[in-house]
Amino acid sequence: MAQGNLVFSVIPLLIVLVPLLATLGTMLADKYRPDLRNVVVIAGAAIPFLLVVLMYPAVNRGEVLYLFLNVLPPTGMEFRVDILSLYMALLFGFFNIILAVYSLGYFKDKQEGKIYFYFMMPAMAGALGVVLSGNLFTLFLFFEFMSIMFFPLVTYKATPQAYAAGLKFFFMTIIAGIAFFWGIAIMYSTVGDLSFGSGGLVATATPLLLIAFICFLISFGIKSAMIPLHFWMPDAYAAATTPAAALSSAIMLKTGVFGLIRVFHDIFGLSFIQETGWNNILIVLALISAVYGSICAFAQDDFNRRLAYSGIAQVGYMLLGIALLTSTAMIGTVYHVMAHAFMKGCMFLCAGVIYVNTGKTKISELRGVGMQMPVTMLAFTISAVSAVGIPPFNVFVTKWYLGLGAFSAEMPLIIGILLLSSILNAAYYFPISINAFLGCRELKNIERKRLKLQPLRMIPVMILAVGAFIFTLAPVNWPLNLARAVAQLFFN
Amino acid sequence: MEQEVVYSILPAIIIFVPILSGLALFLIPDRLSPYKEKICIGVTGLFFLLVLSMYPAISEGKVLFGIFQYFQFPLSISFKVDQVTFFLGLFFSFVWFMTACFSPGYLSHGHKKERYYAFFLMAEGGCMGTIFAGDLLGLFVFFEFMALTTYVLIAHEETPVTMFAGAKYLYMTIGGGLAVFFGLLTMYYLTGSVAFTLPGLITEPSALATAAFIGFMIGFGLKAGMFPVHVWLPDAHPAAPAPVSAALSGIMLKTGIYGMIRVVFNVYSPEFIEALNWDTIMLVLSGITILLGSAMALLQDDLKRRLAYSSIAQIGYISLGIFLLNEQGMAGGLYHLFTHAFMKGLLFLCAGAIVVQTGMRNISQMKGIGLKMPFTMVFFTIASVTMVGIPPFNGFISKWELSLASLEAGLPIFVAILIVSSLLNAAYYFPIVITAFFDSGEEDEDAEKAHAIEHEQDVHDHCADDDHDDHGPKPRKDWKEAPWHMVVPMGILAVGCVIFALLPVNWPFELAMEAARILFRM
Repeated sequence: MAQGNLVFSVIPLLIVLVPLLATLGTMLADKYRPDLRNVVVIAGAAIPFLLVVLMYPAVNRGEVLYLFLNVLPPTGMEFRVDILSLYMALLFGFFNIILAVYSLGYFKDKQEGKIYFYFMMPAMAGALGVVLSGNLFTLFLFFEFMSIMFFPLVTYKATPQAYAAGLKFFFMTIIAGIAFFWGIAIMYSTVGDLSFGSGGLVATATPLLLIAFICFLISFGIKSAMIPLHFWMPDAYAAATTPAAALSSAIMLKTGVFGLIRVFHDIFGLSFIQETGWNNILIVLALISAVYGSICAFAQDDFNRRLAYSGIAQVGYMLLGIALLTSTAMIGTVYHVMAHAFMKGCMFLCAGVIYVNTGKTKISELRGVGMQMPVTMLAFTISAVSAVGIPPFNVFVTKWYLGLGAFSAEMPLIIGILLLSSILNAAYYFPISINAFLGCRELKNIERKRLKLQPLRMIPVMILAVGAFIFTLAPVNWPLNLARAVAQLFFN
Repeated sequence: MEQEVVYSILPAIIIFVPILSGLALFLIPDRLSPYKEKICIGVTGLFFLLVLSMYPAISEGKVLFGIFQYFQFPLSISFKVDQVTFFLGLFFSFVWFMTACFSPGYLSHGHKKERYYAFFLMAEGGCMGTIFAGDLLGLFVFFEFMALTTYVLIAHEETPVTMFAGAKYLYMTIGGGLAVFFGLLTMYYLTGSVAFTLPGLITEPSALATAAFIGFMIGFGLKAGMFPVHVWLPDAHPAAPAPVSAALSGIMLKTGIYGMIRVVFNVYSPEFIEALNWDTIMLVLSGITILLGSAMALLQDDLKRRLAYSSIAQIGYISLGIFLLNEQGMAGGLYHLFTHAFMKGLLFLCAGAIVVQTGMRNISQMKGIGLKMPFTMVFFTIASVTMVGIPPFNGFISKWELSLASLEAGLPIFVAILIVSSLLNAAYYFPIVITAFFDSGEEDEDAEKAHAIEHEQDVHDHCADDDHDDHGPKPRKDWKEAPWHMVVPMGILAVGCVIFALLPVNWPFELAMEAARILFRM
């Protein structure tokens, strides 16, 4: 693995601290200066993003930003920013801004959304901490912190369903935490080191290491909702407020994927996994996720639930790209992290806009909603077309690289499964768009009247919809170049 | 012999003229609404002229080539105009222009006109992009774009029947697109390139090469409407508005055929395909397509559905010409592409004119309609005669070439199939003409009116006679001829069906021959 020269930097720590401080600031503002609250929230989301951008030139030169805090023995708290961390942090930082703006619009009533921000911003800090951490132990801390902060967001509506879903999520999180802890304990006792960047810590396979591997699969699998550990997700998304579901789908899901990349390439190491063939477990689970999620999505009438099952299928793509252990497949995964965040984020935000403006949560009720909200449904349609992988949208690039990865891993049949999943995607997304726009000539005029929408809700939706194709149409596909750099880091 | 390649950005730019104007019409409909017809007709006309402006360079045997700096998926897209693409692009853009001219008359009572014109222009851009793309990736991108935009056109009426037909089209098309995607991906994996070169890049037989070929044939065959993946076509064509049916059948089916040509010559090579006997399979499928399409057409009473099945048969002719894998067959196939674009476009426009003026869709109702709509039915007759292949009409030339090519390839069975199909053509087109002109239908006029009223709800409004004063000082009671702006496009297409065969130099045929020579000259 290419080891860049380490450069000391406190920026990673600041990135994590700013949202936490902003949370405190929001609480104070709520109490003393309610007029300043929105500013504090936006600043808490925007400053970390700017700080990440600040790191970009150095990391792009091949340097690795590094910070070691001598707390929490035995391993200490480490931050380490390589190109993968930077890529994820850029994405997360950007989505934090989008979601913060959208949430401010979503909760019209300041009282209603008050507590929401107290948990959303720490969760964002946790997600940023996960991707910036420099050893497995630090990652574990932020990972748990983020998950627990998400729990109140699931139960935020305070309905019995929300509590049930929240508890389900909570117990799954605990299981994930225990599995993670066990995995860390085994790794530490075996090799005595948990830091990233060495390209693999272990040399010989032992049964204990296999257990650790499975533990990591379980914990990150729960977070990224891999089959068979997915069942918390549809309930949680259906019960949670929409911006929280978007937060989970666009950001938190990706921490599971990120964690698996780190485990594969920084803890166990590429050559070790290739020798043992443990990646085959993940290939099978990923393929099942890709197809099973899509099939389940058909049966759902609840909008959020359908999106949740579709997310399970999309995570299957990402995990597949990790498991194939080829450079092109890794490009596919890393690119899909971005593509999926834009596409699914946009869909969730659309679902939220529809809910707050019309009160509709069922897909069967959405007939003719395109007349009332053409921009929202157009954005949804763009995301749906992207999800199917039709050029020039983002997911096309993902499928291109995943397909090439499957060829170079000499498993061309996997492409067949990817294509099957794509056509299923089309079959459960397109009817939503079609019903929204077409076949509603008999609707009464009042039902076709165009609604006036709040700009705070609509601007994030529009930005995400444009993001579904702007990178592929630009002269330089910038996320793709970053994804290539990531793949080069792990495979050269 | 290498052709001279001239760098030109023109092929890349002109694609975006219709796409961007369509997008503008779609995104700001309120402001552009008063000019929507003018925009649509103007842009399609301009597009035709732009294509025509490439003629001097092409006639000197040059190839126009332009790489587009945008669209960095993994690779950039290039555009290329050689003799083959110019031949197709010129005639297709002309038929698009004619259907655009026809549209305002057809839609006069319709709804959502802004959306229709916007997607009409975008579909044209996608279709032409498919033709002008210089590599397989570009071809695929525009192919998908065209497929999706066409869906909105097919479902334009928004009745349950059209929604169902549209959905069938949409999902089958997406499946086809994924099949092409698989082929594209395999080609890139095997060769590291998606460029069109002569001969093709894949030269080693392998399981993947076979799988890719199957993927291509499913994807492009589905678009073209070949047996056994034609099933969307007989539903989609009758459901769409008539100008869209005309464009769909006359032009967009041909993009599938064009894709096949590129696959045969630029991805693989004719020798390679011959060596692996893939051509035999495709020839058998072509034969089945011809006979099945013709036979099914005979059974239909809905005029547009009959025309749709007839299109399937005609597509069989063209793919037959391609997979005979000789120069004469190729020339015949290409010439038939042009012939069919004109005559089937014309037939669908005639059917549209009948629907608009009388509300009739079924052939059994059309007794004596030739006396009420004489121009329309005369044009219909010309197209029918062309279709059957009676000399001197265009259809005769393509069938003649195809028959000679079959004999040259040592497959006289296909001559027999062509003759049988021609007979079937006659059997299902001439009765329409005879019914229209010689079956006066006086005695059951009341029944006819009842039918027309019945159809009012899912067709356009029954159009009264009163707004056609321009056809005579005092319109006769049964005079239902379409207004001039519908008759003129039909008339031009009808002239196109006949004129080239009568001129001293059959210009399209020369172009087709030249294109075929280019493909076989390596």
